[in-house]
Amino acid sequence: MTDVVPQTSLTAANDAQVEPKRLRSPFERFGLTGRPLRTANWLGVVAGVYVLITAVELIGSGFKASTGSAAEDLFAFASNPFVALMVGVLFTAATQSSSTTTSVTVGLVAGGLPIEIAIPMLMGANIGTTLTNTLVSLGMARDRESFRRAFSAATVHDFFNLLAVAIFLPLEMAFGLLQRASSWLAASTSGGDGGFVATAFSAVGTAVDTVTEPLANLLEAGTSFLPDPWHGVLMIVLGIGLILGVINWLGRLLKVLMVGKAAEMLHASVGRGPISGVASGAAVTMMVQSSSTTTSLMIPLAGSGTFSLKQVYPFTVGANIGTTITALIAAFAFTGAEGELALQAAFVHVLFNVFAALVIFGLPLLRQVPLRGAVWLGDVAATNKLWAAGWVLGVFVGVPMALIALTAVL
Amino acid sequence: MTTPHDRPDRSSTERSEDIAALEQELARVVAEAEARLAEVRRELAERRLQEAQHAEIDRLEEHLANATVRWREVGEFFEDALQQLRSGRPDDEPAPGAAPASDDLGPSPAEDSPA
Repeated sequence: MTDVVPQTSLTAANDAQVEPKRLRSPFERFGLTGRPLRTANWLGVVAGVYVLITAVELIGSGFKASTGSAAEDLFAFASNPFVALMVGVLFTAATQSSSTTTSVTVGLVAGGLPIEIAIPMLMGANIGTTLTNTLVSLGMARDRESFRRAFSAATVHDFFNLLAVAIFLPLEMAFGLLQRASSWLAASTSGGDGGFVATAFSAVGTAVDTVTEPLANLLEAGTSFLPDPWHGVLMIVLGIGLILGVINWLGRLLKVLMVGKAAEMLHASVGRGPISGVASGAAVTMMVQSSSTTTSLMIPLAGSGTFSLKQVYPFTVGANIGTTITALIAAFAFTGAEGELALQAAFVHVLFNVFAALVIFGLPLLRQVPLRGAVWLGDVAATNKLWAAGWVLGVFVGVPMALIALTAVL
Repeated sequence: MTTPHDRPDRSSTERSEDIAALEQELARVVAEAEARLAEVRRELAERRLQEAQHAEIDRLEEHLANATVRWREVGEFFEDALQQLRSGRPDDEPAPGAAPASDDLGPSPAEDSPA
């Protein structure tokens, strides 16, 4: 722990002039308050999950319709794992939502996208999602010391996820570690012959599929005026649009609904060890369904010095794990063989993040690497902004685009 | 009443040994007190920090509402960086004739240094 007394909170300092910003439910526009508002918010969450699952189903059907049995040909450009990785980075950086990338990938895998291509894309989602809190930290560049702390707190997430990919992508290419583990896990938890868990998963999947089928069919019929493959492409585009919208919608409602519980969880973790930090990061992220939100909310707190980099780091690792819940929910859009594939893709994301936490955060030597990288980058970026600009443009735009272009040319 | 130090029959060697032992004992007591004081200070600082953290968590709603990218600020940052690139001068070098920067970077606080 530290004996550095934190600076006055930036938000507290602004209190005298500006009324603090408050979370608002979209239903407040209708004049709802108290219990009716809470009920409406929960119904909104249920509707959001329903639309999310339907949209994932739509993407799966759309992908099948647009490619027929030629899914591998369509994604041949991404058969190079580095290109697939960069597709995941760029798509997530552009949408600022790893949940969108993972949900779309789950739908595509169920529709026929080979899992070997999906795995690097899911890893790329982890890197792309770190852009959001890095951009939030740039807003603190006016005060050098605050910026140094904020940029370090943001980039510890970048370094952790880059290191995770640097370790697990080669392992995946050499041994198919995640593919094998997720395949076993998906087979054990789906289908009718896998014991109680599989039966329960299967029953939930069938029930969800029955409920979401009508809307999915309606949307599919609504786009059938186009000939194939454009019909399928339109379904995919519509599905991605719906997922983007609904992830945003769910985030807004869940923040309003879960802010109290999240605060309780954070209060309980103060003064405890890093394991508690990981747990609270995972729990808060599951509650608000967005790792970008939870990691971004720590940036001003780290910038003001209230939370140290060592405290933000485990919280960030937990956020990586917490965000994997969305892909698992999305996997319920499918049943049978498709369901098993979708579940496998979701488990890839879960296992990748759990393994990364165990290996990098669990081994003292590796645990220090993201911390040292973030401290160094925070120091040089605070002295010279070009380092920060170069990092953002290089990691999230330049390198991914250059790699994709290079592969296209070669 | 007489103490061993006052006794006239004690040799000067014995007296100086007693004084050395006493000094050693006093030094030990002072070191202990200093260590204890440092521990109390550390604990006090930790308590203050935790209080500050709880206070910030109490404002979680506000922090969640603010946890978004402000594109205007991002734009300003890149404009600054571009200007810096054009002038070929890092942030910590003041422009010719400009007043010295008030927010000197200084050494990195201990809490951000990986152990």
